[in-house]
Amino acid sequence: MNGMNKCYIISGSCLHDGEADVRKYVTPGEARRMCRILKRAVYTSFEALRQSGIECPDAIITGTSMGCMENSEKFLTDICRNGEQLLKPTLFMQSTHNTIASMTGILLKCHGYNMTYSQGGVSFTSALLDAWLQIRAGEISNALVGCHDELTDAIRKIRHAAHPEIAPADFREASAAFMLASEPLGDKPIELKKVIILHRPSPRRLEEAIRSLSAKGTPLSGCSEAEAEAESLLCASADAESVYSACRRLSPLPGEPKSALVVTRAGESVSLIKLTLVSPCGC
Amino acid sequence: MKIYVTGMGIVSALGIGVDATLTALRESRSGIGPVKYLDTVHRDLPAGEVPASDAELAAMLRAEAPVSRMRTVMIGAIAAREAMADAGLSPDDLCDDVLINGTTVGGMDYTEKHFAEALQHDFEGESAQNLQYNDCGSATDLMASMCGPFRMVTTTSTACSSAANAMILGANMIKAGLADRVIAGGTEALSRFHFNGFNTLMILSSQPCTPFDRAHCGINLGEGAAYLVLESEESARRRGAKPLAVLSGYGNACDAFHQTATSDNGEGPFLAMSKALKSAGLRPDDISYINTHGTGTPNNDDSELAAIKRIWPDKVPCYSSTKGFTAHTTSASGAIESVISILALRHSFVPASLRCVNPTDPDHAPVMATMFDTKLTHVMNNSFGFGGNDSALIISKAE
Repeated sequence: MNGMNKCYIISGSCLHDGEADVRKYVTPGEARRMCRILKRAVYTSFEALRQSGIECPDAIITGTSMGCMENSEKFLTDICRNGEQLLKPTLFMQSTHNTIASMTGILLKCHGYNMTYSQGGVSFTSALLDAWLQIRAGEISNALVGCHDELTDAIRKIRHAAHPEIAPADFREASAAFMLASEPLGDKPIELKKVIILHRPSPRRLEEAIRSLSAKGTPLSGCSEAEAEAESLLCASADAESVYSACRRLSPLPGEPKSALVVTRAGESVSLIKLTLVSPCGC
Repeated sequence: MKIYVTGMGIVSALGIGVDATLTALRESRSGIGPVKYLDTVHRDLPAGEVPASDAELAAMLRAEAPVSRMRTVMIGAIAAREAMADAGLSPDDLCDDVLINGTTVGGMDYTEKHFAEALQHDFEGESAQNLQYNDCGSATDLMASMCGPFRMVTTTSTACSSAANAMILGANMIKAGLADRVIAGGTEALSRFHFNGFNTLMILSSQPCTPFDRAHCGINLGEGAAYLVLESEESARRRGAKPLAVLSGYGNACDAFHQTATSDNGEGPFLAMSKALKSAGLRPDDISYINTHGTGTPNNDDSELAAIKRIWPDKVPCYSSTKGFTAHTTSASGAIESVISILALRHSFVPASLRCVNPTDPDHAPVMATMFDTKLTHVMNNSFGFGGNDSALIISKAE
């Protein structure tokens, strides 16, 4: 197996509901033309890049469960209300799921590997898996990996119809972006040890996978599977949010967690992401 | 490490299955015609529809539960099952396999049938139920449940290069030792949503498309699905599976120019093809045929040819666009054209760029009449998507 290189999470940014002020990073004209999800994606991506000190990443890899929902819904609504005439091209142009990663590529003039995954609540994990395996294989030395989703009133109602126990207003939207690299950065280097996605795993297969990650008696922290499932129902980007908060919780201080297993159970998939704090001496 | 293709399946306007596709290609018979199944007012725009109604597709999948009503899922499941059977695999063999599906509209064909009703009821109560689980990932999950138990399932969504990118992730996973076998490809049914979307961009042709002809004036949208069984050399040898072809190289790059147009010098396509050559360890001269993206818009065809000429400044290899046969099958096109490339390799022919009479560049004309008895060794297959998501694959003859 390849995998001579290690893969570290060297920076990250996370935003929740609402609009991001992207004028720090793009012109007012560019900002005006962006829909809400794009603004949050650009803000978190540029923030993660700034922290990493890398201007143009080798790869831009994005996960999104529903993509640019607001534009898709507007375009569909226009077709229903006005028929198939006089529709707005910009709504369609900014409706495809890859709008986010490709727009980031355009803004950064980044010609590298560019990819988008859309696999429900494990969209981010899919993007992370891609970056992880390419960095380990030495194909790329760093990657901007993000997860971005937006909710509309209609989506909140549709989700509520499927899960009546959750009020429409309680569903969350989030954006998170990380820089991954083959070289650690800063005084708290976090290694991305392993990324596993399992489809409808049997209890035995899941147990085996978890056991394979906690080898060598590494203490694990993270939420239970039931909590993981509830989280991913509330927020499509739960896997990305959880990685962000796990990275913040890992600490070299005595008594603080040194590694984390982020478990996401979403739809028919379970994802397992293992993070380990690397001691500064490298041992 | 070699990545073998040990099975393939295809559904397109040329028919259901590899045999129907091969026959149509050899007979230069296009699948493009008037819209028959899509509910649209744009009857003047030709399309490449899969020649079966939703009910007929459901009948092909009958007796298997659960059956999805999404056209994207149905054609996907039919093509994936053919690929698995072709590789000699039954669902029981798949429990360690990975399914990587490329799609962009997902279950939009189903969503849009129920959207008006839901809109009318303000997405309350029962009206919302038909809009649940139609997203890309859910469509792939449904397809997975109709094809076998997979260890891992994911979806690539990079518009018209989705299937090519599914194959790239699949190959990378096999190389990294994360899987022995990956079923990779893509599926996309026509939807009123993207049919109208492309139409607002004024890039659809009211005539059957003519890629690389001076009269080229746009795309015909099509639908279809195709999957390839990618397998490590060792796994194929272990179970005695014969390779149909080798996925010997691939490249993914971003044009980083415009959301829906390609740069004039084809920077993204140039980088994708260059990366593919490098990853295959091949020289440009080694390529015997390029199955181009060739959508039939002046912007695509000109920038793609410009990029090709940057890599092959002296002599452009023989090239054609098979979108004159299948129409542009968007997310599925990378896999559909990979199957066509493998058929060309195995049966020693180069399919024509149909309806190309006056080439845009007479000094570097595409193949205008199908060439038979032409031995091919390495085929380059291009897929370019919105946002400049450009990918190139190199498929080689299995020795």
